[in-house]
Amino acid sequence: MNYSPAQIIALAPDAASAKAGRSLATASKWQNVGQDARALWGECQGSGAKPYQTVIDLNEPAFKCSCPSRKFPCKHALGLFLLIANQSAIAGTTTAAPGVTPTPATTAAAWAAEWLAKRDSQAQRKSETAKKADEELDEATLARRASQKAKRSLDREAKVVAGLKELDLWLRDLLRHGLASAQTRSFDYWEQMAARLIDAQAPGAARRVRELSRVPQYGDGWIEQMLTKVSSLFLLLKAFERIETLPTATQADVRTAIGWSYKEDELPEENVVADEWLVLGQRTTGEESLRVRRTWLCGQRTAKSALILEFAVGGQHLAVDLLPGTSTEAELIFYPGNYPLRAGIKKRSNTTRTSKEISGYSSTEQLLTTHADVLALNPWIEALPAPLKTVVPVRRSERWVARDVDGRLLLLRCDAATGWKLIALSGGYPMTIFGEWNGQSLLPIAAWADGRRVELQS
Amino acid sequence: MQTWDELLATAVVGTEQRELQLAARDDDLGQLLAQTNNADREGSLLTAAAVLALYRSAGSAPPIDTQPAPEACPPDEAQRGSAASAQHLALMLDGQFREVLPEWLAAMNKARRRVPEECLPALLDHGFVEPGLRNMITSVLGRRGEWLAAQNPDWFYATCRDEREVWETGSREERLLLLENVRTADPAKARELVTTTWPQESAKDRIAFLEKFAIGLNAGDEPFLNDALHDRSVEVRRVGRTLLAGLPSSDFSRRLQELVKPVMSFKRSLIGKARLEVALPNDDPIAWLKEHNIEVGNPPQNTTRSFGPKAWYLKEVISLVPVTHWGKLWAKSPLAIIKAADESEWHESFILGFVTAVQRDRDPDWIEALVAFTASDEKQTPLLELVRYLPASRLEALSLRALESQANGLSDGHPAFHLLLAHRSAWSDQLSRAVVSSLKTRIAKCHDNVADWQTKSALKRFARYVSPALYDELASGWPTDSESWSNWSRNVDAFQSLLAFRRDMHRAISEGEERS
Repeated sequence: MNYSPAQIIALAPDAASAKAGRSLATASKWQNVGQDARALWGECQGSGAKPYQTVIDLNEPAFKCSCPSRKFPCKHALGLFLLIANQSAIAGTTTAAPGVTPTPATTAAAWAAEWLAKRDSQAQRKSETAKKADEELDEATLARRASQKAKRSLDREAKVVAGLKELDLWLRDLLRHGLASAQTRSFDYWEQMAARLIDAQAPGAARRVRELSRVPQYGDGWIEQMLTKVSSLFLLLKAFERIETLPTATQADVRTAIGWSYKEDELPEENVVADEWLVLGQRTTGEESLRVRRTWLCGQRTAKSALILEFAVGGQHLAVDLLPGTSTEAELIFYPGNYPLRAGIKKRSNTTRTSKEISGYSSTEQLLTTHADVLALNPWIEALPAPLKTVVPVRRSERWVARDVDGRLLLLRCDAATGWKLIALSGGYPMTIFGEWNGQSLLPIAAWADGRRVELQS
Repeated sequence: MQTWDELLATAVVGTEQRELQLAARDDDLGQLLAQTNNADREGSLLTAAAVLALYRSAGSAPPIDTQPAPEACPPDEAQRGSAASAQHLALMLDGQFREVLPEWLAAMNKARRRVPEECLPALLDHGFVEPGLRNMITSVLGRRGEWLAAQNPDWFYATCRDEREVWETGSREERLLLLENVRTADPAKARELVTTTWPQESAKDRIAFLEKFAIGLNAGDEPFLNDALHDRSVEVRRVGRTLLAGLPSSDFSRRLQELVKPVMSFKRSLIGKARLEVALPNDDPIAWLKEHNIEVGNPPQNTTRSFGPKAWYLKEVISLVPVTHWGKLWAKSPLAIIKAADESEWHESFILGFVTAVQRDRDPDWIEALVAFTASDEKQTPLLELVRYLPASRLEALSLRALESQANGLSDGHPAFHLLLAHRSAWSDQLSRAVVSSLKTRIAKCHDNVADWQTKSALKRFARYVSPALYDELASGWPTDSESWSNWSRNVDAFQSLLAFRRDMHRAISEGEERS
């Protein structure tokens, strides 16, 4: 059992599920609890007559529960997981603590074994069909598909060109009237332009326009921010106007910033990087209707950084296979660009290891140098993974900042609860903070102090 | 940075209002900017801004701290609570099982473990809104918590501060808490603290401070309390009287004992029942009290015909006499005296006076006698609550006896019920087992769906006091096939959840070796 309660809580789809899961993490709720090297299982008495059957495949981890909840993992899975994690944390062993009605810990209940077997055969079938799909297509089908695809991409190209042309006029108009006018613009002013860009299939540009509408609320210095963001957007559309003249990797950066996406299975094989990938941190943003999870990885041998983005629309659930603080041997496939960060998981091993420490920048100087280098490669980059070693969180003029060994102050983007938590963890001693650096401030995601990792986003 | 400021100045008001005029620069940046097409006003502004913004971002240097590095917290010898304990705390602060937070804090303190760092801010915040928990919270913060608390004014309560300074400058809440603490540790020191500011305090504060003298009340307090008898506030005088009445050797208490001696008597009767009699010298209580220079306050306006001013004065006098004094005076048992009082013309004055006195003196024999007397009398049931002034050991014994007395199990009217509700500290294993087994009996035998709602809702309360070590035994063997089970299952479930949580939390505190 390599999972800590904090890691398990991080798997919860939302705060309500985390709370419900925690309250189910008591032995009295569970019967026929058992575990072996691969899985945990148990039965939880719910409101119905029949208890819910919950299985956890520890390898990924993956979850299965007979309850009707659309949340994933459901509160039962979280509860069972926490229950066992707490007990092994207390006992310091992998055996179930007394108090849980023991079933023979080595043989899974029939229903649990059945599900685990089904998973194995599914995984096998999936790899077989993937192989077959490539082989079976005849040349005619392939040619037809290719021409359809080319047509679609031409159509989109034309739409984006038209959309960006409008954006060009709109931006010039904004500058003619002056950025001070931004403060008095209605919601519709921004939203109409953004909607137009969505129609033009340029969602990245649309998102940047929506962000502009929030800038007047930034407080002091918002005008500077506005000019920075507006000019960056202008740079983007100028780059697109002459995209054929740019190097391939820069073309990819421009397209990505505008909103083109890539299919992971169409990315070239040379973009694959095999390594032991440590999950530095994870955070989920967005509402119930669209949740986005950002997972930052760091290759232990290549020292490469990677960002895995996952999306869940409506009732969909986010897969739970990357646990903060653990590392896994995996092949990642990187999206193209001058400074590739975004990646997908191509293949991963089933075993995870827990890491106690991470490597990172030993001064803010190093972070800022890297950031400058990256800006030279891709001026539209929005966030860099920033593991900062030996910083002391402090409060200066009502703001939370990280102070490095040279006494330089880096602004932290966090609320008071997180700020105090950081100060408590540090105790005035240098600590490691991992966060996202956006060029101005660091959004803290996790911290290491006294040999412990603590999640800050939950 | 001139160029950027120039760009900004034009961007703010708009190119329509202000033409962009960039000063030439002879560096690389200048060369780059020279390439912009000045005829395209907005385009050249935006292009130049894009270049400058990146230039500035790439070259930005974070400010250097003008203050020295913070003073680090000295290392903590106390062992950090386990990850499971951190989770239990987070759950309670989140509102679940919050009623056991005091128990958790006490257990952490006893095990000499400190709260994990990441939980400190939330716990300190909780103490800010719950002053009653501050002492317990402070005991588990460790050095780190104290170090942290010194940095946020809301948390100053958890820092070591000069007592005199808190007393002189603190909020009313802080001062009351301080007084309570000092009074517990060193009553004389607390009294000195109060004396330093006494004349400046408002009547409201004088009352509140004086009430705290009940903690560690001793003969040394007498001169101060005697002064309080002459306070300008009626209410302060009342509190002072009550406190002096709790010191049987005080001059005030002795004078009251002397006062009642010739006036009240225990009249034996050969045929009828014994009764207490009262014979005031001239039937005027005010004159009588004045003659002995004793003040008991003034009767309320709304005295009734059956309980008039005289009855009220008598009640006040009786309540100020040490309750054990009557037994010494008449050589009778408490129950005999109570029964005789019930036969008296002034029975209400006697019973109410005894009840007030017993709450102050907490004499177990008198409490039990009053409860035994009123248990047989429907209209006196409120007096059952007096059992909460009994020491835990007496409550245990009485509850066990009451549980054994009835074979049908614990129910709303059961004589053990009010005793168990009053027993608000850890129950012995024996009592825990007896209560649960009695409940199981009741559920198995009960066929009435609406009965026992008080018992049902008390189950969760019981779960706070039964012994968590007996969880396995107490959580199993419930009569789930009884026909009334469906009416009980929800409450039994809540009982088991809370008990399981308590079991888990104690286990996490006592056994949990830290694993990070």
